[in-house]
Amino acid sequence: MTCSKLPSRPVIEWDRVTFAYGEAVAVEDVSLTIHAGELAAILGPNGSGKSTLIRLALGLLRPLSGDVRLFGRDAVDFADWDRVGYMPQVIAGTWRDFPITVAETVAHGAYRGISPLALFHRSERPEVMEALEAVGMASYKGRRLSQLSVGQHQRVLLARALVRRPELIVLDEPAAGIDVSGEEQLYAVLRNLNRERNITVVIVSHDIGAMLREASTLACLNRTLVRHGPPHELTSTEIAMLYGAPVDVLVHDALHEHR
Amino acid sequence: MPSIFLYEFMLRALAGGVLVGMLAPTLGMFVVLRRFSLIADTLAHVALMGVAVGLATNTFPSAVALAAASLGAIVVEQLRSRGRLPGDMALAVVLYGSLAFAVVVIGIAGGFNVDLFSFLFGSILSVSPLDLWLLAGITVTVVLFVGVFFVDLAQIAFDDDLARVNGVRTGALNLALAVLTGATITLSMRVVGVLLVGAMLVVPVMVGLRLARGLRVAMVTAVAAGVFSGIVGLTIAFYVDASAGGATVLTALGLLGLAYLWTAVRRWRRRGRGEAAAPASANGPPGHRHHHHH
Repeated sequence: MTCSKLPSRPVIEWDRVTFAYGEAVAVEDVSLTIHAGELAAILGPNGSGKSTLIRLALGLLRPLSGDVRLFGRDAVDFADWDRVGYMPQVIAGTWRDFPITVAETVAHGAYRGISPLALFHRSERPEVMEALEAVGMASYKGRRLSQLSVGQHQRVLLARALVRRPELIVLDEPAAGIDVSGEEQLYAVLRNLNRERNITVVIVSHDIGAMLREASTLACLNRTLVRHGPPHELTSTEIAMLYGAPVDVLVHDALHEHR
Repeated sequence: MPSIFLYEFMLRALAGGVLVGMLAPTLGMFVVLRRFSLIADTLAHVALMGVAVGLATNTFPSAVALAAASLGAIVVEQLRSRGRLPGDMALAVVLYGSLAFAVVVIGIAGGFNVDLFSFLFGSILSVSPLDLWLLAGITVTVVLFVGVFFVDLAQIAFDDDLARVNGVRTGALNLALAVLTGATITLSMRVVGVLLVGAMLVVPVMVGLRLARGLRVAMVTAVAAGVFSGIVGLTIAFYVDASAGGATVLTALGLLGLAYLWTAVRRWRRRGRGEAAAPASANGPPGHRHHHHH
């Protein structure tokens, strides 16, 4: 039987979206659509508005103007969180003192709404173990999260995002702070989820090389959308336009830090 | 030596100590994990302002303090959730503002008296049956709240955005947590005093964080440390006629010291074993000894 591919529906739509933190405009007039089944990368230098764009998509921020839709619904009103997994940017040391095991972390992702008995639920449930196996972390279930390397830490958070079997996962700088082999393992897991389970994957990254290799579509952002399309069409002139000279990138970083 | 159980006031004080020991760390766990420890001390001084106004105007001081602390908690939480709280600076403004206002009101009203001292340092004698009932009421409320919303609160403490994308109603829960923190501080103040009530929210929790691997065990450990400190601290205060709050917090700090010592010894012994194994395996059959130790 031939694979009859359905016309893929939009998963995230930004329609002429602008957002500012106080006076500082982070995202300006961006229109972009991510379709089901894509492994989409949002690429740009630090401070280019990448994280803002996905926080808008998840309804964590309200746009100043324009519309953001998640699975066809206004992102701010979206409530069907079973369909979405999110992995925030991990800043090293954030959870150093947090007493939580690997299994507990993933079990939190599986938690749906208030249950008076949730306190007494076992953490090592089948769905939790399945998610940990998908990222190759099952043997670490009883470890304290703070004892893991950054790469292992990222994979546990990925398992947490996967435990509700979402249709879409959104990852903010998933490879930040991990070594080459950890990065390769992480992308292998993501490729597999995208191809085998047909999960739409959205990765926010500043790593051009990795995104050119991994992504099926590439959106280049520097406050406004610079370009959008398959990675092989990206020219070196466009990369230069996106990142500017290294000095420009540094200046941009400094502005971002001060905001 | 007189038995402490012969005195009714002492039984009340012990009951108060046990309740504070349970109550303060139960809420304190989430306050500490959200790196918001300074809010406890800030709300204690807002409550003190309420006490001063209550004493000066001859209205029930605990009620005015409760209202002030709850209101203060809501204001601080609103500022925090809107990202308008640049670190600890805004908390410092609220803390010193309340303290300064309290001192001025106290001065106008005729200076420091015994009542005020019992609020500042906590007093065994001052724990009335009404205080105890209020304390029992808030303890039951807090234990139920934390029990029902344990996973929600843990997720918020872990990462606010992740909790929201998981469908947790972070706004309402953060507000409830703030108001309960205000009430807890006001009612615990009678037993341990304004100046040290913040310590009871933080120090037993640190004992739990030091010793436990998972969140639930950390919570149980923190509450056990709090209750132990309450009982032992008040008993010491009774026999050597010391301040109730001071003795209780010193006991909790003693437990924290022991917790650090215990983890340090455990690590040292593990390392010692590792070092002993290395030369043994070097002299003996290669790798043989080494494997036994791992």
